[in-house]
Amino acid sequence: MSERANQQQKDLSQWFACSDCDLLLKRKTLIEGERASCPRCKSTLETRKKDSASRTLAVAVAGLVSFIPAMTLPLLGLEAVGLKNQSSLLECIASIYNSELFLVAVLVSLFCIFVPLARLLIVCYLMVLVKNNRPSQTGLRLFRYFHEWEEWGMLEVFMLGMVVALYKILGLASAIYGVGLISFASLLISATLVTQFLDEQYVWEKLSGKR
Amino acid sequence: MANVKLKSARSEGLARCHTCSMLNKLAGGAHHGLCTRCQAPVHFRSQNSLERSWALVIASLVVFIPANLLPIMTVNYFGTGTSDTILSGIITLINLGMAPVAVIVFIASFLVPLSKILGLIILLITVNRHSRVKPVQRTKLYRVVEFLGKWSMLDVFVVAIMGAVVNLGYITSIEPGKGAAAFAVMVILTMFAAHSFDQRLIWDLKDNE
Repeated sequence: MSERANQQQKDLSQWFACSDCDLLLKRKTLIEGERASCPRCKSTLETRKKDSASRTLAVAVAGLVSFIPAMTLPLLGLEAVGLKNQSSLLECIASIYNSELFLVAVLVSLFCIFVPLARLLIVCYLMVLVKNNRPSQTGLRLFRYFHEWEEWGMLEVFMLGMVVALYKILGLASAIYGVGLISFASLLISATLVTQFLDEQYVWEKLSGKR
Repeated sequence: MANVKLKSARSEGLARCHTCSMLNKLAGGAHHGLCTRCQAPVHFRSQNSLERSWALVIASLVVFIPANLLPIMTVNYFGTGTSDTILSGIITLINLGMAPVAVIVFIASFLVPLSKILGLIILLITVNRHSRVKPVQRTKLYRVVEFLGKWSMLDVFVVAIMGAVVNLGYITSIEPGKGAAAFAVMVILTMFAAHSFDQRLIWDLKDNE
């Protein structure tokens, strides 16, 4: 990059465009905990979060720890006339697969296993890079995937699905609450807190070495 | 505030990266490029945003029909099977005296996908007609449509859980139906449709005033 182009890039980082209405705004330096929003359409531009990297890393690790039990331990079950049956998330997917709804089986495993797992692994790795002040091209690419896949992680929808299924089971027989429910809830809480604690702009700047 | 001339990033030749929000100067007449920070593709406005969004909205409306007509699951009870579509499943829930759950399922599986499609159609028509009506409200509408996206997958997950859990051989079992697949496809199509719509188009006329 030439000297002049470099200078231009530096100037551009002083400006911001609103994601929703494309309004061009001079960027303000925020203090921790402060939030900037668009004067025209009120969408959030930027939030500076406190102690973001350490907190995000902590909850991401907690999420990874509860991941395997959340997938393999039984979540829900039912009991009638002396017979019992319980299922884990993996068994749910296997059962849809056996009903020959292959597409649904693939989608459920993507939305409830692979996307959440990949995002947790990525965020752990990136927080280590950020905490050690290591700019990284791979890190930037991974963070891009992390951002683009956000919508396709559906743990919270699955949790609501379990609540609805529980009520439906209660209409048929008596329900069994599996031990996996605790791990699943802790995975869900960790994944939600990751998005709460993560300061996206800070990570982009750290990874590209501009901060 | 009223006296300040509002400028869009595009009018200054700057394109905001949708992924990392970095501003990029696009060289001479180009409409797209790669973000200097995260290498994601950047555009002034998503290319063919309206056409793609319309196509996906129409496709999801088409898939909405089999999603509601095909059985989403079959409940076997002592050898006799009854198939339920999404709507008949809701009626069954009411008959079982579980009105609150019926309301949740009705909202998540029927009202949400339909209002998502309707909301997108409103946005697409107003942008197509170069409407200047209430851009703030329309931006809010877009945010709601985007937020609702994944929640309509609820019924697909419920069917997946029920199919595995309710399995006591001859006494009672649940078999997921083809409707679940159609429903999942419909939800994904609406999510892609919302994705294709570039919300900045709502504001473009304001800037030209």
